[in-house]
Amino acid sequence: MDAEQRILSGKEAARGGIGAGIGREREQVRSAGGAWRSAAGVAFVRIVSLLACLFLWHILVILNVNWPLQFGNLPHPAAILSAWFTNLQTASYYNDILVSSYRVFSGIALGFIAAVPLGMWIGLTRVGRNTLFPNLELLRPIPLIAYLPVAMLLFRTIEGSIVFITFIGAFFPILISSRDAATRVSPSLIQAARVLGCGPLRAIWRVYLPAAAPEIFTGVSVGIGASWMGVITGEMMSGQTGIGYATWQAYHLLDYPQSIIGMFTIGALGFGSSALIRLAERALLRWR
Amino acid sequence: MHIEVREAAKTYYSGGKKWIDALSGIDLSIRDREFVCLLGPSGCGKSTLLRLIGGIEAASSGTVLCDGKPVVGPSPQRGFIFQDYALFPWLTVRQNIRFGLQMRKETKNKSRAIAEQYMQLFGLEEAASLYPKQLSGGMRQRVAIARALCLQPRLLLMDEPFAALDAMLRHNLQEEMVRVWQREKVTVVFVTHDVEEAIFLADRIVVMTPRPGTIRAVVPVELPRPRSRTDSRFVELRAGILRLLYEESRGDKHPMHLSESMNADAWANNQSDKMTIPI
Repeated sequence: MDAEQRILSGKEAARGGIGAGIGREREQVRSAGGAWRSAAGVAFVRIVSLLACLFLWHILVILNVNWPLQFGNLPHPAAILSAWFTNLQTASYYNDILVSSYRVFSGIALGFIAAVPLGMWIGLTRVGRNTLFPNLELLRPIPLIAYLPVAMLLFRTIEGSIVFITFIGAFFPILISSRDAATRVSPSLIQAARVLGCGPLRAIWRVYLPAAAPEIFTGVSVGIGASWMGVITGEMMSGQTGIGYATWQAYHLLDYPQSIIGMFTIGALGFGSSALIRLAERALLRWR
Repeated sequence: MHIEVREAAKTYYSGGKKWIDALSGIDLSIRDREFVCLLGPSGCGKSTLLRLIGGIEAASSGTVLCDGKPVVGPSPQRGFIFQDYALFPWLTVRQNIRFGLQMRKETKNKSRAIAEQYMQLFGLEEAASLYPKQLSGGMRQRVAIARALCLQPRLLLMDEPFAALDAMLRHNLQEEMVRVWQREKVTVVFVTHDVEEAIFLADRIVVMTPRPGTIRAVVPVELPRPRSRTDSRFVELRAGILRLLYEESRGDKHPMHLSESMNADAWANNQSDKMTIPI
Protein backbone atom coordinates (compact mmCIF):
# COMPACT_ATOMS: atom_id res chain seq x y z
CA MET A 1 0.00 0.00 0.00
CA ASP A 2 1.69 3.24 -1.06
CA ALA A 3 1.34 6.58 0.69
CA GLU A 4 -1.36 7.97 -1.55
CA GLN A 5 -3.52 4.90 -1.18
CA ARG A 6 -3.13 5.00 2.54
CA ILE A 7 -4.35 8.59 2.63
CA LEU A 8 -7.31 7.72 0.47
CA SER A 9 -8.37 4.77 2.57
CA GLY A 10 -7.85 6.89 5.66
CA LYS A 11 -10.24 9.45 4.24
CA GLU A 12 -12.74 6.77 3.48
CA ALA A 13 -12.53 5.47 7.01
CA ALA A 14 -12.90 9.02 8.30
CA ARG A 15 -16.13 9.36 6.37
CA GLY A 16 -17.08 6.42 8.50
CA GLY A 17 -20.27 4.48 8.96
CA ILE A 18 -22.23 2.55 6.42
CA GLY A 19 -21.31 4.62 3.40
CA ALA A 20 -17.62 3.89 3.72
CA GLY A 21 -18.31 0.20 4.16
CA ILE A 22 -20.40 0.03 1.01
CA GLY A 23 -17.73 1.91 -0.89
CA ARG A 24 -15.09 -0.61 0.03
CA GLU A 25 -17.32 -3.56 -0.72
CA ARG A 26 -18.10 -2.20 -4.16
CA GLU A 27 -14.38 -1.81 -4.84
CA GLN A 28 -13.79 -5.45 -3.99
CA VAL A 29 -16.63 -6.71 -6.14
CA ARG A 30 -15.42 -4.71 -9.10
CA SER A 31 -11.88 -6.02 -8.77
CA ALA A 32 -13.19 -9.62 -8.52
CA GLY A 33 -13.93 -9.66 -12.25
CA GLY A 34 -16.24 -8.74 -15.07
CA ALA A 35 -18.91 -11.37 -14.43
CA TRP A 36 -20.62 -9.27 -11.74
CA ARG A 37 -21.33 -6.33 -14.01
CA SER A 38 -24.48 -7.59 -15.70
CA ALA A 39 -27.61 -9.35 -14.48
CA ALA A 40 -26.88 -12.18 -16.91
CA GLY A 41 -23.39 -12.56 -15.46
CA VAL A 42 -24.78 -12.78 -11.93
CA ALA A 43 -27.36 -15.37 -13.00
CA PHE A 44 -24.60 -17.36 -14.71
CA VAL A 45 -22.48 -17.41 -11.56
CA ARG A 46 -25.44 -18.53 -9.48
CA ILE A 47 -26.35 -21.37 -11.83
CA VAL A 48 -22.76 -22.54 -12.03
CA SER A 49 -22.49 -22.67 -8.22
CA LEU A 50 -25.72 -24.67 -8.03
CA LEU A 51 -24.47 -27.11 -10.64
CA ALA A 52 -21.17 -27.38 -8.79
CA CYS A 53 -23.04 -28.42 -5.64
CA LEU A 54 -24.99 -31.07 -7.53
CA PHE A 55 -21.77 -32.27 -9.12
CA LEU A 56 -20.08 -32.55 -5.71
CA TRP A 57 -23.04 -34.60 -4.49
CA HIS A 58 -22.80 -36.80 -7.58
CA ILE A 59 -19.07 -37.40 -6.95
CA LEU A 60 -19.59 -38.19 -3.26
CA VAL A 61 -22.22 -40.81 -4.11
CA ILE A 62 -20.34 -42.34 -7.03
CA LEU A 63 -17.11 -42.68 -5.06
CA ASN A 64 -19.17 -44.09 -2.15
CA VAL A 65 -17.50 -41.72 0.31
CA ASN A 66 -18.25 -42.92 3.85
CA TRP A 67 -16.23 -40.49 5.89
CA PRO A 68 -17.01 -38.27 7.78
CA LEU A 69 -20.62 -38.95 6.84
CA GLN A 70 -22.08 -41.87 4.94
CA PHE A 71 -22.59 -39.98 1.70
CA GLY A 72 -22.62 -43.30 -0.12
CA ASN A 73 -26.07 -44.06 1.31
CA LEU A 74 -27.65 -41.07 -0.42
CA PRO A 75 -29.53 -41.58 -3.66
CA HIS A 76 -27.95 -40.36 -6.84
CA PRO A 77 -29.00 -36.82 -7.98
CA ALA A 78 -29.89 -38.18 -11.42
CA ALA A 79 -32.10 -40.89 -9.88
CA ILE A 80 -33.88 -38.22 -7.85
CA LEU A 81 -34.44 -36.05 -10.91
CA SER A 82 -35.89 -38.90 -12.95
CA ALA A 83 -38.13 -39.97 -10.05
CA TRP A 84 -39.30 -36.38 -9.76
CA PHE A 85 -40.23 -36.27 -13.46
CA THR A 86 -42.33 -39.39 -12.90
CA ASN A 87 -43.92 -37.74 -9.85
CA LEU A 88 -44.93 -34.78 -11.94
CA GLN A 89 -47.19 -37.14 -13.89
CA THR A 90 -48.69 -38.73 -10.76
CA ALA A 91 -51.90 -37.47 -9.18
CA SER A 92 -50.92 -38.50 -5.65
CA TYR A 93 -47.90 -36.15 -5.67
CA TYR A 94 -50.12 -33.17 -6.42
CA ASN A 95 -52.69 -34.43 -3.97
CA ASP A 96 -50.12 -34.57 -1.17
CA ILE A 97 -49.03 -31.02 -1.96
CA LEU A 98 -52.61 -29.77 -2.01
CA VAL A 99 -53.58 -31.52 1.22
CA SER A 100 -50.59 -30.12 3.12
CA SER A 101 -51.03 -26.63 1.67
CA TYR A 102 -54.69 -26.67 2.59
CA ARG A 103 -53.84 -27.60 6.19
CA VAL A 104 -51.27 -24.81 6.43
CA PHE A 105 -53.66 -22.31 4.89
CA SER A 106 -56.44 -23.26 7.32
CA GLY A 107 -54.08 -22.98 10.26
CA ILE A 108 -52.85 -19.56 9.13
CA ALA A 109 -56.37 -18.26 8.50
CA LEU A 110 -57.67 -19.46 11.87
CA GLY A 111 -54.52 -18.30 13.64
CA PHE A 112 -54.82 -14.86 12.07
CA ILE A 113 -58.49 -14.51 13.02
CA ALA A 114 -57.75 -15.49 16.62
CA ALA A 115 -54.34 -13.91 17.18
CA VAL A 116 -54.82 -10.39 15.80
CA PRO A 117 -57.74 -9.37 18.05
CA LEU A 118 -56.26 -11.14 21.08
CA GLY A 119 -52.83 -9.62 20.50
CA MET A 120 -54.36 -6.15 20.20
CA TRP A 121 -56.39 -6.75 23.33
CA ILE A 122 -53.30 -7.83 25.28
CA GLY A 123 -51.30 -4.91 23.93
CA LEU A 124 -53.90 -2.25 24.61
CA THR A 125 -55.66 -3.20 27.84
CA ARG A 126 -54.47 -3.94 31.32
CA VAL A 127 -57.09 -6.67 31.67
CA GLY A 128 -55.78 -8.52 28.65
CA ARG A 129 -52.18 -8.10 29.72
CA ASN A 130 -52.85 -9.59 33.15
CA THR A 131 -55.45 -12.27 32.46
CA LEU A 132 -54.86 -13.87 29.08
CA PHE A 133 -51.23 -13.07 28.44
CA PRO A 134 -49.63 -14.92 31.40
CA ASN A 135 -51.46 -18.12 30.40
CA LEU A 136 -50.38 -17.82 26.80
CA GLU A 137 -46.81 -17.13 27.84
CA LEU A 138 -46.76 -20.51 29.59
CA LEU A 139 -47.95 -22.26 26.44
CA ARG A 140 -45.75 -20.38 23.99
CA PRO A 141 -42.37 -22.03 24.70
CA ILE A 142 -43.80 -25.53 24.15
CA PRO A 143 -42.48 -26.94 20.88
CA LEU A 144 -45.17 -27.66 18.31
CA ILE A 145 -44.58 -31.40 18.31
CA ALA A 146 -45.33 -31.58 22.03
CA TYR A 147 -48.85 -30.35 21.33
CA LEU A 148 -49.56 -33.48 19.31
CA PRO A 149 -50.87 -35.76 22.09
CA VAL A 150 -53.25 -33.05 23.30
CA ALA A 151 -54.30 -32.37 19.71
CA MET A 152 -55.15 -36.06 19.28
CA LEU A 153 -57.21 -36.03 22.45
CA LEU A 154 -59.03 -32.83 21.60
CA PHE A 155 -60.01 -33.73 18.05
CA ARG A 156 -61.98 -36.65 16.79
CA THR A 157 -60.23 -36.70 13.42
CA ILE A 158 -56.59 -36.74 12.48
CA GLU A 159 -57.33 -33.91 10.08
CA GLY A 160 -58.55 -31.75 12.96
CA SER A 161 -55.51 -32.44 15.10
CA ILE A 162 -53.08 -31.65 12.28
CA VAL A 163 -54.84 -28.36 11.49
CA PHE A 164 -54.74 -27.60 15.22
CA ILE A 165 -50.96 -27.98 15.16
CA THR A 166 -50.63 -25.63 12.17
CA PHE A 167 -52.96 -23.21 13.95
CA ILE A 168 -50.74 -23.19 17.04
CA GLY A 169 -47.71 -22.63 14.83
CA ALA A 170 -49.29 -19.56 13.25
CA PHE A 171 -51.01 -18.28 16.38
CA PHE A 172 -48.08 -17.33 18.61
CA PRO A 173 -45.95 -15.34 16.14
CA ILE A 174 -49.02 -13.41 14.97
CA LEU A 175 -50.15 -12.85 18.56
CA ILE A 176 -46.79 -11.48 19.65
CA SER A 177 -46.38 -9.27 16.59
CA SER A 178 -49.91 -7.86 16.97
CA ARG A 179 -49.33 -7.15 20.62
CA ASP A 180 -46.02 -5.40 19.99
CA ALA A 181 -47.39 -3.46 17.06
CA ALA A 182 -50.40 -2.27 19.06
CA THR A 183 -48.20 -0.93 21.84
CA ARG A 184 -45.87 0.77 19.38
CA VAL A 185 -48.43 2.82 17.45
CA SER A 186 -47.13 6.39 17.49
CA PRO A 187 -48.90 8.37 20.26
CA SER A 188 -49.17 11.41 18.03
CA LEU A 189 -51.19 9.40 15.48
CA ILE A 190 -53.58 8.29 18.21
CA GLN A 191 -53.88 11.84 19.51
CA ALA A 192 -54.34 13.18 15.98
CA ALA A 193 -57.20 10.72 15.44
CA ARG A 194 -58.82 11.76 18.72
CA VAL A 195 -58.53 15.45 17.90
CA LEU A 196 -60.15 14.74 14.52
CA GLY A 197 -63.13 13.19 16.30
CA CYS A 198 -62.25 9.49 16.14
CA GLY A 199 -63.59 7.57 19.17
CA PRO A 200 -61.63 4.74 20.83
CA LEU A 201 -63.55 1.88 19.18
CA ARG A 202 -63.32 3.39 15.75
CA ALA A 203 -59.64 4.04 16.30
CA ILE A 204 -59.04 0.29 16.40
CA TRP A 205 -60.18 -0.01 12.79
CA ARG A 206 -58.99 3.30 11.49
CA VAL A 207 -55.68 3.73 13.35
CA TYR A 208 -54.40 0.76 15.32
CA LEU A 209 -54.98 -1.95 12.71
CA PRO A 210 -53.53 -0.11 9.71
CA ALA A 211 -50.60 1.15 11.79
CA ALA A 212 -49.93 -2.37 13.05
CA ALA A 213 -50.35 -4.05 9.64
CA PRO A 214 -46.66 -4.11 8.66
CA GLU A 215 -45.62 -5.82 11.89
CA ILE A 216 -48.57 -8.21 11.71
CA PHE A 217 -47.36 -9.21 8.25
CA THR A 218 -43.97 -10.02 9.72
CA GLY A 219 -45.76 -12.20 12.27
CA VAL A 220 -47.67 -13.96 9.50
CA SER A 221 -44.52 -14.80 7.58
CA VAL A 222 -42.87 -16.20 10.70
CA GLY A 223 -46.13 -18.03 11.45
CA ILE A 224 -46.20 -19.61 8.00
CA GLY A 225 -42.78 -21.11 8.61
CA ALA A 226 -43.92 -22.55 11.94
CA SER A 227 -47.13 -23.83 10.33
CA TRP A 228 -45.18 -25.75 7.71
CA MET A 229 -43.03 -27.24 10.43
CA GLY A 230 -46.21 -28.21 12.28
CA VAL A 231 -47.94 -29.79 9.32
CA ILE A 232 -44.92 -31.91 8.39
CA THR A 233 -44.47 -33.07 11.97
CA GLY A 234 -48.14 -33.90 12.32
CA GLU A 235 -48.26 -35.80 9.05
CA MET A 236 -45.10 -37.75 9.82
CA MET A 237 -46.40 -38.75 13.23
CA SER A 238 -50.02 -39.45 12.54
CA GLY A 239 -51.02 -38.67 8.99
CA GLN A 240 -52.23 -40.80 6.15
CA THR A 241 -51.87 -38.12 3.50
CA GLY A 242 -49.80 -35.04 2.82
CA ILE A 243 -46.27 -34.34 1.75
CA GLY A 244 -44.86 -34.98 5.24
CA TYR A 245 -46.50 -38.38 5.35
CA ALA A 246 -45.20 -39.19 1.86
CA THR A 247 -41.65 -38.23 2.81
CA TRP A 248 -41.60 -40.40 5.92
CA GLN A 249 -43.46 -43.27 4.26
CA ALA A 250 -40.95 -43.33 1.40
CA TYR A 251 -38.13 -43.72 3.93
CA HIS A 252 -39.84 -46.73 5.47
CA LEU A 253 -40.37 -48.24 2.04
CA LEU A 254 -36.67 -47.71 1.31
CA ASP A 255 -37.65 -45.41 -1.57
CA TYR A 256 -34.93 -42.88 -0.73
CA PRO A 257 -35.24 -40.74 -3.87
CA GLN A 258 -38.87 -40.05 -2.89
CA SER A 259 -37.77 -38.98 0.60
CA ILE A 260 -35.35 -36.50 -0.87
CA ILE A 261 -38.00 -35.27 -3.31
CA GLY A 262 -40.36 -34.80 -0.35
CA MET A 263 -37.70 -32.80 1.44
CA PHE A 264 -37.10 -30.44 -1.45
CA THR A 265 -40.83 -30.16 -2.16
CA ILE A 266 -41.42 -29.04 1.43
CA GLY A 267 -38.62 -26.51 1.02
CA ALA A 268 -40.15 -25.21 -2.21
CA LEU A 269 -43.60 -24.94 -0.63
CA GLY A 270 -42.20 -22.96 2.28
CA PHE A 271 -40.33 -20.68 -0.09
CA GLY A 272 -43.46 -20.26 -2.23
CA SER A 273 -45.64 -19.32 0.74
CA SER A 274 -43.15 -16.70 1.90
CA ALA A 275 -43.11 -15.28 -1.62
CA LEU A 276 -46.92 -15.17 -1.64
CA ILE A 277 -46.92 -13.29 1.67
CA ARG A 278 -44.41 -10.80 0.32
CA LEU A 279 -46.56 -10.25 -2.76
CA ALA A 280 -49.66 -9.71 -0.63
CA GLU A 281 -47.72 -7.33 1.59
CA ARG A 282 -46.54 -5.32 -1.37
CA ALA A 283 -50.07 -5.10 -2.75
CA LEU A 284 -51.73 -4.20 0.54
CA LEU A 285 -49.09 -1.93 2.02
CA ARG A 286 -48.30 0.26 -0.93
CA TRP A 287 -47.99 3.26 1.37
CA ARG A 288 -44.76 1.98 2.93
CA MET B 1 -62.69 31.13 20.47
CA HIS B 2 -61.82 32.79 23.75
CA ILE B 3 -59.52 30.93 26.13
CA GLU B 4 -59.06 31.36 29.83
CA VAL B 5 -56.34 29.48 31.73
CA ARG B 6 -56.53 29.90 35.50
CA GLU B 7 -53.92 28.76 38.01
CA ALA B 8 -53.10 25.78 35.83
CA ALA B 9 -50.35 23.42 36.90
CA LYS B 10 -49.07 20.13 35.53
CA THR B 11 -46.91 17.69 37.45
CA TYR B 12 -45.39 14.54 35.99
CA TYR B 13 -44.32 11.55 38.02
CA SER B 14 -40.79 10.61 37.06
CA GLY B 15 -40.18 7.47 39.08
CA GLY B 16 -39.10 6.99 42.68
CA LYS B 17 -40.11 9.92 44.80
CA LYS B 18 -39.49 12.41 42.03
CA TRP B 19 -42.11 14.67 40.55
CA ILE B 20 -41.47 17.21 37.85
CA ASP B 21 -43.31 20.52 37.76
CA ALA B 22 -43.84 20.99 34.05
CA LEU B 23 -46.11 23.95 34.61
CA SER B 24 -47.00 25.95 37.64
CA GLY B 25 -49.34 28.83 38.29
CA ILE B 26 -50.26 29.59 34.70
CA ASP B 27 -52.75 32.42 34.19
CA LEU B 28 -53.43 33.40 30.63
CA SER B 29 -56.33 34.70 28.66
CA ILE B 30 -56.50 34.70 24.89
CA ARG B 31 -59.03 36.76 22.97
CA ASP B 32 -61.14 35.45 20.13
CA ARG B 33 -59.25 35.54 16.81
CA GLU B 34 -55.99 36.46 18.46
CA PHE B 35 -52.67 35.02 17.29
CA VAL B 36 -50.62 34.09 20.35
CA CYS B 37 -47.17 32.52 20.39
CA LEU B 38 -45.87 30.54 23.36
CA LEU B 39 -42.10 31.12 23.30
CA GLY B 40 -39.38 29.63 25.43
CA PRO B 41 -36.49 27.18 25.65
CA SER B 42 -37.11 23.45 25.74
CA GLY B 43 -38.47 22.24 29.04
CA CYS B 44 -40.35 25.45 29.75
CA GLY B 45 -43.71 23.73 29.45
CA LYS B 46 -44.93 25.54 26.34
CA SER B 47 -46.00 22.33 24.62
CA THR B 48 -47.61 21.07 27.81
CA LEU B 49 -49.65 24.26 28.08
CA LEU B 50 -50.74 23.81 24.47
CA ARG B 51 -51.81 20.23 25.18
CA LEU B 52 -53.81 21.33 28.20
CA ILE B 53 -55.69 23.82 26.03
CA GLY B 54 -56.22 21.12 23.40
CA GLY B 55 -57.55 18.69 25.97
CA ILE B 56 -54.92 16.11 24.99
CA GLU B 57 -53.66 16.17 28.56
CA ALA B 58 -55.47 17.15 31.74
CA ALA B 59 -54.15 19.77 34.15
CA SER B 60 -53.03 18.54 37.58
CA SER B 61 -54.75 21.57 39.08
CA GLY B 62 -56.42 24.72 37.86
CA THR B 63 -58.83 25.14 34.98
CA VAL B 64 -58.80 25.69 31.26
CA LEU B 65 -61.90 27.28 29.80
CA CYS B 66 -62.73 27.63 26.12
CA ASP B 67 -65.59 30.05 25.52
CA GLY B 68 -66.37 29.71 29.21
CA LYS B 69 -66.66 25.92 29.16
CA PRO B 70 -64.09 23.71 30.86
CA VAL B 71 -61.95 21.60 28.52
CA VAL B 72 -62.44 17.91 29.25
CA GLY B 73 -60.96 16.23 26.19
CA PRO B 74 -59.91 16.80 22.61
CA SER B 75 -62.43 18.17 20.14
CA PRO B 76 -62.43 18.86 16.40
CA GLN B 77 -63.43 22.41 17.40
CA ARG B 78 -59.85 22.80 18.61
CA GLY B 79 -57.62 21.71 15.76
CA PHE B 80 -54.16 20.49 16.73
CA ILE B 81 -51.04 20.53 14.55
CA PHE B 82 -48.20 18.27 15.67
CA GLN B 83 -44.52 18.89 15.10
CA ASP B 84 -44.11 15.46 13.49
CA TYR B 85 -47.18 16.17 11.27
CA ALA B 86 -49.01 13.05 12.55
CA LEU B 87 -50.34 12.22 9.09
CA PHE B 88 -51.69 8.71 8.72
CA PRO B 89 -49.02 7.09 6.53
CA TRP B 90 -51.46 4.51 5.08
CA LEU B 91 -53.81 7.19 3.75
CA THR B 92 -53.25 9.38 0.72
CA VAL B 93 -53.26 13.16 1.02
CA ARG B 94 -56.94 13.27 0.04
CA GLN B 95 -57.88 10.49 2.47
CA ASN B 96 -55.94 12.17 5.28
CA ILE B 97 -57.81 15.41 4.75
CA ARG B 98 -61.14 13.59 4.61
CA PHE B 99 -60.46 11.64 7.82
CA GLY B 100 -62.02 14.18 10.17
CA LEU B 101 -64.94 14.81 7.82
CA GLN B 102 -65.71 11.09 7.79
CA MET B 103 -65.58 11.01 11.58
CA ARG B 104 -68.13 13.82 11.57
CA LYS B 105 -70.30 11.63 9.30
CA GLU B 106 -70.48 14.10 6.44
CA THR B 107 -72.06 12.73 3.29
CA LYS B 108 -69.60 11.39 0.78
CA ASN B 109 -70.22 14.21 -1.69
CA LYS B 110 -69.89 16.93 0.86
CA SER B 111 -66.73 15.59 2.42
CA ARG B 112 -65.22 15.17 -1.02
CA ALA B 113 -66.12 18.73 -1.98
CA ILE B 114 -64.70 20.20 1.24
CA ALA B 115 -61.50 18.18 0.91
CA GLU B 116 -61.01 19.36 -2.69
CA GLN B 117 -61.56 22.95 -1.61
CA TYR B 118 -58.90 22.78 1.10
CA MET B 119 -56.46 20.90 -1.11
CA GLN B 120 -56.81 23.76 -3.59
CA LEU B 121 -56.27 26.37 -0.87
CA PHE B 122 -53.01 24.73 0.17
CA GLY B 123 -51.79 23.86 -3.32
CA LEU B 124 -52.14 20.13 -2.79
CA GLU B 125 -54.24 19.15 -5.83
CA GLU B 126 -51.27 17.59 -7.60
CA ALA B 127 -50.38 15.56 -4.53
CA ALA B 128 -53.93 14.35 -3.80
CA SER B 129 -53.21 10.66 -4.43
CA LEU B 130 -49.71 10.55 -2.97
CA TYR B 131 -48.86 9.00 0.36
CA PRO B 132 -47.22 11.12 3.11
CA LYS B 133 -43.92 9.29 2.61
CA GLN B 134 -43.76 10.71 -0.91
CA LEU B 135 -44.09 14.33 0.25
CA SER B 136 -41.54 16.86 1.45
CA GLY B 137 -41.70 18.14 5.02
CA GLY B 138 -43.34 21.41 3.99
CA MET B 139 -46.01 19.58 1.98
CA ARG B 140 -46.70 17.24 4.88
CA GLN B 141 -47.26 20.14 7.23
CA ARG B 142 -49.59 21.75 4.68
CA VAL B 143 -51.63 18.54 4.60
CA ALA B 144 -51.78 18.49 8.39
CA ILE B 145 -52.97 22.10 8.50
CA ALA B 146 -55.54 21.50 5.76
CA ARG B 147 -56.76 18.39 7.58
CA ALA B 148 -57.36 20.42 10.75
CA LEU B 149 -58.82 23.50 9.04
CA CYS B 150 -61.35 21.67 6.85
CA LEU B 151 -63.30 20.90 10.04
CA GLN B 152 -63.57 24.68 10.50
CA PRO B 153 -62.24 24.77 14.04
CA ARG B 154 -62.61 27.92 16.09
CA LEU B 155 -59.12 27.44 17.50
CA LEU B 156 -55.90 26.15 15.98
CA LEU B 157 -53.21 24.82 18.31
CA MET B 158 -49.82 24.41 16.69
CA ASP B 159 -46.89 22.64 18.38
CA GLU B 160 -43.63 23.84 16.76
CA PRO B 161 -45.10 23.02 13.36
CA PHE B 162 -42.24 24.43 11.28
CA ALA B 163 -39.31 23.49 13.54
CA ALA B 164 -38.15 20.65 11.32
CA LEU B 165 -38.18 22.65 8.08
CA ASP B 166 -35.37 24.59 6.44
CA ALA B 167 -35.27 28.37 6.75
CA MET B 168 -36.66 29.31 3.31
CA LEU B 169 -39.59 26.95 3.61
CA ARG B 170 -40.21 28.08 7.16
CA HIS B 171 -40.50 31.70 6.01
CA ASN B 172 -42.92 30.72 3.24
CA LEU B 173 -45.11 28.75 5.60
CA GLN B 174 -45.07 31.54 8.18
CA GLU B 175 -46.38 33.96 5.58
CA GLU B 176 -48.96 31.42 4.48
CA MET B 177 -49.98 30.92 8.10
CA VAL B 178 -50.67 34.62 8.57
CA ARG B 179 -52.87 34.63 5.46
CA VAL B 180 -54.72 31.52 6.65
CA TRP B 181 -55.30 33.06 10.06
CA GLN B 182 -56.65 36.27 8.55
CA ARG B 183 -58.91 34.40 6.12
CA GLU B 184 -60.28 31.66 8.39
CA LYS B 185 -61.18 33.91 11.34
CA VAL B 186 -59.64 31.48 13.75
CA THR B 187 -57.81 31.87 17.06
CA VAL B 188 -54.25 30.53 16.88
CA VAL B 189 -51.97 29.42 19.70
CA PHE B 190 -48.56 28.67 18.25
CA VAL B 191 -45.67 27.10 20.17
CA THR B 192 -42.15 27.94 19.06
CA HIS B 193 -38.62 28.35 20.38
CA ASP B 194 -37.71 30.71 17.53
CA VAL B 195 -37.91 34.36 18.65
CA GLU B 196 -38.06 35.68 15.09
CA GLU B 197 -40.88 33.33 14.18
CA ALA B 198 -42.85 34.47 17.22
CA ILE B 199 -42.42 38.17 16.39
CA PHE B 200 -43.32 37.59 12.76
CA LEU B 201 -46.54 35.79 13.59
CA ALA B 202 -47.96 36.85 16.91
CA ASP B 203 -50.25 39.53 18.24
CA ARG B 204 -48.85 38.70 21.65
CA ILE B 205 -45.87 36.59 22.70
CA VAL B 206 -46.07 34.62 25.92
CA VAL B 207 -42.46 34.22 27.08
CA MET B 208 -42.01 31.16 29.25
CA THR B 209 -39.11 29.95 31.39
CA PRO B 210 -38.34 26.47 32.76
CA ARG B 211 -38.05 24.76 36.19
CA PRO B 212 -40.89 25.06 36.85
CA GLY B 213 -42.58 26.17 33.63
CA THR B 214 -43.97 29.61 34.25
CA ILE B 215 -44.96 32.65 32.24
CA ARG B 216 -42.14 35.18 32.43
CA ALA B 217 -43.72 37.96 30.44
CA VAL B 218 -46.45 38.64 27.92
CA VAL B 219 -45.13 40.83 25.14
CA PRO B 220 -47.53 42.47 22.70
CA VAL B 221 -46.22 42.87 19.17
CA GLU B 222 -47.65 46.05 17.80
CA LEU B 223 -45.99 45.99 14.41
CA PRO B 224 -48.14 46.46 11.31
CA ARG B 225 -48.63 43.43 9.05
CA PRO B 226 -47.15 42.25 6.78
CA ARG B 227 -44.07 42.43 8.97
CA SER B 228 -40.54 42.82 7.80
CA ARG B 229 -37.80 40.95 9.62
CA THR B 230 -35.33 43.72 8.89
CA ASP B 231 -37.49 46.53 10.25
CA SER B 232 -35.61 48.29 13.06
CA ARG B 233 -38.45 47.84 15.54
CA PHE B 234 -38.57 44.12 14.70
CA VAL B 235 -34.86 43.83 15.43
CA GLU B 236 -35.11 45.77 18.67
CA LEU B 237 -37.99 43.69 19.91
CA ARG B 238 -36.02 40.58 19.06
CA ALA B 239 -33.06 41.82 21.10
CA GLY B 240 -35.32 42.61 24.02
CA ILE B 241 -36.93 39.18 24.08
CA LEU B 242 -33.60 37.42 23.66
CA ARG B 243 -32.25 39.34 26.63
CA LEU B 244 -35.27 38.27 28.63
CA LEU B 245 -34.66 34.60 27.78
CA TYR B 246 -30.88 34.76 28.01
CA GLU B 247 -30.69 36.43 31.38
CA GLU B 248 -33.22 34.05 32.77
CA SER B 249 -31.16 31.07 31.68
CA ARG B 250 -28.05 32.52 33.39
CA GLY B 251 -30.04 33.57 36.40
CA ASP B 252 -29.59 30.39 38.44
CA LYS B 253 -25.81 30.36 38.34
CA HIS B 254 -24.90 34.04 38.26
CA PRO B 255 -27.43 35.87 40.32
CA MET B 256 -28.29 38.94 38.28
CA HIS B 257 -25.24 40.01 36.38
CA LEU B 258 -27.39 42.66 34.84
CA SER B 259 -25.67 45.45 33.07
CA GLU B 260 -26.25 48.89 31.73
CA SER B 261 -29.31 49.25 29.60
CA MET B 262 -32.09 47.06 30.82
CA ASN B 263 -32.85 44.99 33.84
CA ALA B 264 -34.68 41.94 32.57
CA ASP B 265 -36.93 41.61 35.57
CA ALA B 266 -37.92 45.23 35.56
CA TRP B 267 -38.51 45.02 31.85
CA ALA B 268 -40.64 41.91 32.19
CA ASN B 269 -42.74 43.32 34.99
CA ASN B 270 -43.13 46.48 33.05
CA GLN B 271 -44.43 44.42 30.14
CA SER B 272 -46.97 42.40 32.02
CA ASP B 273 -48.34 45.55 33.63
CA LYS B 274 -48.59 47.87 30.73
CA MET B 275 -48.59 45.52 27.74
CA THR B 276 -46.61 47.96 25.68
CA ILE B 277 -43.11 47.83 24.54
CA PRO B 278 -40.43 50.50 24.73
CA ILE B 279 -39.38 50.69 21.13
